[in-house]
Amino acid sequence: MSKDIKHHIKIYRNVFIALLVLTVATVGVSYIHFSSHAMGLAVGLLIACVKGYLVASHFMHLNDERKWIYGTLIFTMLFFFVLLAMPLMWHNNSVGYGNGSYENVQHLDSSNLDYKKKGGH
Amino acid sequence: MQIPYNEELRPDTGLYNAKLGIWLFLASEVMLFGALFSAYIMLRTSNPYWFDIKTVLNIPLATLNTVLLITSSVTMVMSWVALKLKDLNKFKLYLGITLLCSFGFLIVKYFEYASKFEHGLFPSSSTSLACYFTMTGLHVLHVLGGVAVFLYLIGPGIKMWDSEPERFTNRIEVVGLYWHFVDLVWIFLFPALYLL
Repeated sequence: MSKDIKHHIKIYRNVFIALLVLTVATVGVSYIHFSSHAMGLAVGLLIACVKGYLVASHFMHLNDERKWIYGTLIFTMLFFFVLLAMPLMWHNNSVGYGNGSYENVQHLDSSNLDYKKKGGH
Repeated sequence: MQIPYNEELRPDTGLYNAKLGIWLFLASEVMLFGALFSAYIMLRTSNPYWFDIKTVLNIPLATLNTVLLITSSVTMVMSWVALKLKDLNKFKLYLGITLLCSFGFLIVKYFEYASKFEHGLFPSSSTSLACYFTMTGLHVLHVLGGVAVFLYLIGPGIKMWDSEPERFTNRIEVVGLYWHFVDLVWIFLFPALYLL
């Protein structure tokens, strides 16, 4: 077995362990009560981004790729961020809640309680 | 007609054609899931009566699914390494584990969905559940697609190893890239839907 491949296998094993640890961290963080919801959201997304980076850079070999692939991805990410920024350009118009009425939400809240009483997941 | 640049690298891109092809496909997939994430953010932030689905979702099961997908990603890349080392038996072992993990993911998802339906929780029940079923449903379809390709490559498709080993190794790399993307999407879906 060549030294280079041995080195890669070691990296894959370490990334695997890191991903498992970060998964536990993601779940753990969701049980912590942060001072603000935004803070909890930021920490959760930060961990997800680190995991995403590990998968993309090592498993998908993006840390050592050709410029055509980087070019394609940079172009895609540009449009991706425009897509994600769209909700920021939107006015808060209470779009799409429940089935259009507050009664439906009330109904769902009570069915949720029944659901928990039955020991549902 | 022989498709060019299956094995040898195309001089202008420095890549074999299928690799550039899968990356272009994945770019379109980023936009597909990106649109759903964007819609989810918009619906969630603008809804004063957002039904918090965290209360009805099973976090331990979703965590198990995360572990299954991460494991399958590692075994997928290891199956490619096995082919690079010309070890077909190890390749079969690693791809077999990948397949088992994907089946595990689908079984867990089945129990999750069945539990929701049993308790009268459908996509039509609330906007948040509609988002949950749409996003995880599309992801499950991608897992099913991956499983179909794995079954082909470990079954009849493996014959290519005898005639064109380099091309077969490239096929595994390409399906691996797709599979890691499916894993990547779940890495963001899991906290977005189940935890945050």
